[in-house]
Amino acid sequence: MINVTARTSPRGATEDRGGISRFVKALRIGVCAAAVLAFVGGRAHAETIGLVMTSWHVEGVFTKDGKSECPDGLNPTLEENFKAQFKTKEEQDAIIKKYGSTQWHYRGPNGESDNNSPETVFDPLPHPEPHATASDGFNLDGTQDGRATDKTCKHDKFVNASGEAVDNQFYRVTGCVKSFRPQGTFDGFITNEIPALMVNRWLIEIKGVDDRMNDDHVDVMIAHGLDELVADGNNGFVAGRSQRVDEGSASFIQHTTGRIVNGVFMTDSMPEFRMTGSGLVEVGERRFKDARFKLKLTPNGATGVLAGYGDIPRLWRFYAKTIGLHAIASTVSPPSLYHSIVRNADGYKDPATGQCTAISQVYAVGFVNANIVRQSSSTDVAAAISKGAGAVR
Amino acid sequence: MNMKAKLFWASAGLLGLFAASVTAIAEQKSELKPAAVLSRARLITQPQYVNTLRGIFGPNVKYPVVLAPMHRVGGLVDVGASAAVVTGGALERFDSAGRTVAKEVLDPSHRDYIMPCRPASEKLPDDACARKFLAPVGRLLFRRALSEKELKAYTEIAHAAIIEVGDFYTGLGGTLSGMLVAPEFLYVTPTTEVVRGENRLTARSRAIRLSMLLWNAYPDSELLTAAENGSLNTDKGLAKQVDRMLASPRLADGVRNFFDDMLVFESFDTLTKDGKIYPAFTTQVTTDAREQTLRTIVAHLVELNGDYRDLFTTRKTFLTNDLAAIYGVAINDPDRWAPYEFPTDSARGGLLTQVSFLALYSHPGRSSPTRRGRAIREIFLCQKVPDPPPNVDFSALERPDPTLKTARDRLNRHSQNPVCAGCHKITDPIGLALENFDGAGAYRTDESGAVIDASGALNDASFKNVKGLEEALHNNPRTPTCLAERMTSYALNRPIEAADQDLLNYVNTKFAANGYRVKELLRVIATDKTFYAVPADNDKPTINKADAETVTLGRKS
Amino acid sequence: MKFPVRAFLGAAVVGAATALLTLQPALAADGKLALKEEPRPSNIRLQETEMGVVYADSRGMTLYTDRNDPKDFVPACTEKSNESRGEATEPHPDHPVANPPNCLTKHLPVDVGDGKPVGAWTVFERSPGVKQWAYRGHPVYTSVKDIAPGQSWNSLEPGLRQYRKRWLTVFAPLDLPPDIILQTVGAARVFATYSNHTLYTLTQDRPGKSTCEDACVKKWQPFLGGEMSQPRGEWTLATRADKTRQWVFRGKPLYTFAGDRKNGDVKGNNLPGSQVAVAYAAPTPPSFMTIQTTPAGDLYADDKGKTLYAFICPSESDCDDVTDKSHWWFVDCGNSPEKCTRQWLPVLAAPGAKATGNTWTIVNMPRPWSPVRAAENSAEPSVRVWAQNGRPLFTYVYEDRPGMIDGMDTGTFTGPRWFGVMATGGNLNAKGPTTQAAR
Repeated sequence: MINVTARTSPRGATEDRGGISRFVKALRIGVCAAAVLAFVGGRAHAETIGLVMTSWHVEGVFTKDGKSECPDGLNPTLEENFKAQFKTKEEQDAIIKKYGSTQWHYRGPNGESDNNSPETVFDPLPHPEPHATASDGFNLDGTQDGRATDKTCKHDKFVNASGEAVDNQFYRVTGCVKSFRPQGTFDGFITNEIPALMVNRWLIEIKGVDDRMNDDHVDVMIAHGLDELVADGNNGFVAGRSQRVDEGSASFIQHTTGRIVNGVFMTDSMPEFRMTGSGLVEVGERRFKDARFKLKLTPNGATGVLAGYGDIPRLWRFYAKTIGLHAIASTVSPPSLYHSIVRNADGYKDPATGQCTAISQVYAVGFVNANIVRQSSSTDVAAAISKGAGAVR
Repeated sequence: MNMKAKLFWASAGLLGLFAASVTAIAEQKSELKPAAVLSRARLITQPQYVNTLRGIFGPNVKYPVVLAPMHRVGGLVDVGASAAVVTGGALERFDSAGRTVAKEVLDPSHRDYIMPCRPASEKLPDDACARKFLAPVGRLLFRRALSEKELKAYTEIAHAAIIEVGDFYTGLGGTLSGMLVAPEFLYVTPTTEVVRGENRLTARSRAIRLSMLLWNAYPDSELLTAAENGSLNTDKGLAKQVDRMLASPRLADGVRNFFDDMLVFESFDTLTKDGKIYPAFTTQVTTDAREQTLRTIVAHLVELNGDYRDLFTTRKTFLTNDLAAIYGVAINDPDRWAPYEFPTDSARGGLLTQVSFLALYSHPGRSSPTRRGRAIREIFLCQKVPDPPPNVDFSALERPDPTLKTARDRLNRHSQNPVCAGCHKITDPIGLALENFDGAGAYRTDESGAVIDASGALNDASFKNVKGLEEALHNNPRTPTCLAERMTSYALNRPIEAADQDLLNYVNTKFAANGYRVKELLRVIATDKTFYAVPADNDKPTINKADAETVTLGRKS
Repeated sequence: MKFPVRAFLGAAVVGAATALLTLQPALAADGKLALKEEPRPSNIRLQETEMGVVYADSRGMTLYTDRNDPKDFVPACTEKSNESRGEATEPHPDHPVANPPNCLTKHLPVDVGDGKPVGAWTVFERSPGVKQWAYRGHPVYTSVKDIAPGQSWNSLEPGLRQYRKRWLTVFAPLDLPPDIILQTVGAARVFATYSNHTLYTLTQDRPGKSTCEDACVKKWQPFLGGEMSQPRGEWTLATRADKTRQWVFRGKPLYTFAGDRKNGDVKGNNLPGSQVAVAYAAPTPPSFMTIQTTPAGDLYADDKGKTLYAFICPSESDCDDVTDKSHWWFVDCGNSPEKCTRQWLPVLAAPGAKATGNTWTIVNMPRPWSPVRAAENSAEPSVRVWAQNGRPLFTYVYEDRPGMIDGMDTGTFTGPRWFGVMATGGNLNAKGPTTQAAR
């Protein structure tokens, strides 16, 4: 008699299996069946892991005071750059009067907005970039040293905890920008917006999991969710709630494959991955090329990273309307960010110009377990109700 | 036919009728004896207050959330209502609630759809219109038609108030608020009469008792009319009203209130769990767990008209998303109460494995086989378990030896103390069968790394796991008799006493004969004259109609 | 009804109420519901709009109150108030303005004139000699954004939930039982219980009589009044078998649906045999419009599913009304009208297309696009563009597939933004209701 322990769900307990004697009896039959299935290559007892996103930050080294990774200090603000560009009060008053901006934005040569047309403005003050070399993420360009290739531009690599080379150029743009750092304005708003705004409800369903520690093939669905996150009693979010897939936003239901290695789940590279997001209460779409998730599975969820290239015009549209639009509150100067992005771009080289048109990004993401629910048709819902809904009291 | 023959047949007919009625009476009489206990006055409870006023004025009025606190007597808060005293603070709450309700009922957004008439002037008294409002409202509030003297008195109060404030509706509202703190409204005092040598409740009191039992509210107009025209005093008339009320969705109010009371669910108001140990047990779960059980009960007993005992085994229930996280299941429509059926091989089945029971009878940070076992004995089997002695040593449980990994281990150690063993023998073998459910009600297979042994026993029935406990409780003869006892006590609004044994035997026989269906149990109780009987030696003075008129009619606004 | 040419600065993204077309107005086909008897001054009149009957000034222009009023009789809208915080009200050097706009430039206090206070209408003295009507304690205004009687510019207010509707249309109150309210679902207004449960009718019922008993009431719960509830006008009560009394409107007994749980849920709509109790059906959008479900909610889109946008400014900015400056329309597109016209593409009206009401109209917009400025003369090059509440509609060139929100919220901090008009309250399209989380 093989001693098989009951299977465990992500929450660490079996889902209400029955009495022991019945279990043992079923087990005898089940073991035989499993052996047959295994022989024919079937997947017996495959599990599904459901996850819902609970946190989102730029990945990289962020020490508490920033001194080690940002020895040149943190970024100058829009106001400081404006006053460095227009040095006297008369100049400042004149430009404001001419183009009508009391928020210092309209300082392009023809009064262009430094946020919506950042290519027209060059901030006089230098934009500090981090000196750190550690980051989690993926080796997106396939090189060990960041050399230029047909498709990518020369850049320095980061190294993750496993010693692997990582591409994360967006951290160079944002690592010494106060707002992007933990507890910075932008980062803080997003932390609150992940549970509060439904554009941020993102689900991952991992199917066909034979072994939570090692499985060389799993099927993955990523989709927008419809249900709320609920704070638990331990400064986190309640795990195990049901999350309905937003069937209506069908183009955001995306499929890929992956694997699990030593308890770490990784997707294969997705040529394109789309999601919506927010920042400072403004909403938009994020789009990644060659995107991958890498998440360590925990008893109640998962933590890890999402990495991929961001096409610069699209990336800038997202950040312009979020952090750029609120530049004063978030203490950033949009042109500095923009030009740092262009400078640090490392992917999707334009053969005509040699300029890279995309930048590698890595975001640290957290999830809790959820039961992913696909929506039945409205008729089925009605039928279920008629079986006994109970009074609305 | 000649005269002699006619007389013969007439006499025979009369004799037959007489014999039939004597037999009928004898049949009833022979089964039951009125209990030798007193009927009592009872204070209105908060759910009764709300249900009654909602039934009168409609749902959109700010009804109060909290009124007078009640005490549990004989296992039921509702019975405690018959021992309730209105303190100064409680009266203030009633007064405040009454003013709020009255003001709102007669405000511009309500009154056009509540007033049966319009005053000739909104600034002046209009006695005819005031009477047209006060008469039906008074009847429904006081459960009897106002006498002409009372109606006149209230109309005069309104008249004076309207003159004082210069507004018809404000003055009328003040009068209404006075009625809402009148003893005739707040207190139900049974009135009795003697008919054919039997002491019984009057038709009006009969209506009140019936309505409190089935709908947890004062009688509606239809029931009052049946009392007023005497039909409620007839078997047929009573049966008609009972049928009507049992078929109504309002029956759910009565059933919910009874079980909320019997299951001691007011404990939810103070239930807390350790957020670090049970992070998913949020306050929403506290609310939902109570509602889940009540919905399960109403669906099974009222809508399905199911066997009461099956409540301990049924796999059908209703879930919300927050509850589903504790149960570890997915539900399809997290927005609402979704019907849910646990699979056949699930350990979940019946009320004992619902979060409400499991979490209520646990500690903030761990399960408690003792509390659960005791609760099962006291709530479902009506068996009293003594309190622990004052000087008991809990250290084995609170600062346990780390080699004692499970609750069973710790309780075994604790029960080595002979002072403790006696009571724990009564409770723990039952509660240990539920140890696969932690203090929040979530399922587990082990505790601190040791596999949980969920075997136990309920009296002579031993079992290997919780399924066995569910079956044992289902099959235990005390289970239905305890319910019948509680329900009878609830219906009579007083604790059960030794003298009630015949009544209980009767009720239990009928309950069994009717397949343990609670609607039928209610029907049996509600249609039997014992429910309305008063012992011959009841020395409580009756309050007759004349006396009622001299009771204080409340205050001016 | 044809309206004069009107062009707004910017275009609003408008979500289509195509789904709401399938709300069969079971109860209010003629839209005429009984109003509460409420006295009003002689120079305040009633005016029909597509959203219902409103209070209007003597010209028929819709009245509004200001949600931002800190308390009764204290207006938030004054010469000093300017919610755009400066940026969009700075005068452009090419178009000097003597007095920069403020709240009162766009929201005109309704003068008491010779009228006398009565009922809920009182006189608010803004300043010595300046007397404004107030309704239920709130000063009332008309809006320059309405240019003809029957318009109500803030219906289908664009933007996500974080932008609260500041200006509240003063609807003439309906004569409703206290247990029943009007609830906005998208652009429709439906009857609901006082606790926001949508009300429904069932085709199985007979006039004034419910046939829903036993198993039926588990799903459709009769909405009950009390024993003292009185019938009035078209609102009556039906006595059920258990002698409880159920509310009935125009002979149709009313129910809530067991599957609804949140405000605005209409999951019982279009189930067999049931209909939402509609008071005012949504204004019908042009037939080519579609609805797209996105993670930001349901949005109106064109026939290819491309999200529709409108350009909206804070309500008193010198920004998006007729006679406002065009400056702000292009300042964020590279300070160049040409650049803007390459990014924002107008939704052109097909030749011969006709507007269907006050809400969805066609406007003449000059080239290069300037959503604010009407074509100055018939010789000026212009195009016919679909508009929602006078705001021309655009798609965003960077959106490369249906159901995107790339353009959403683009703009400047202090105000001018590109917005979509949400089809809030549930997806009521022909496929039937789908569950939606609140957004």
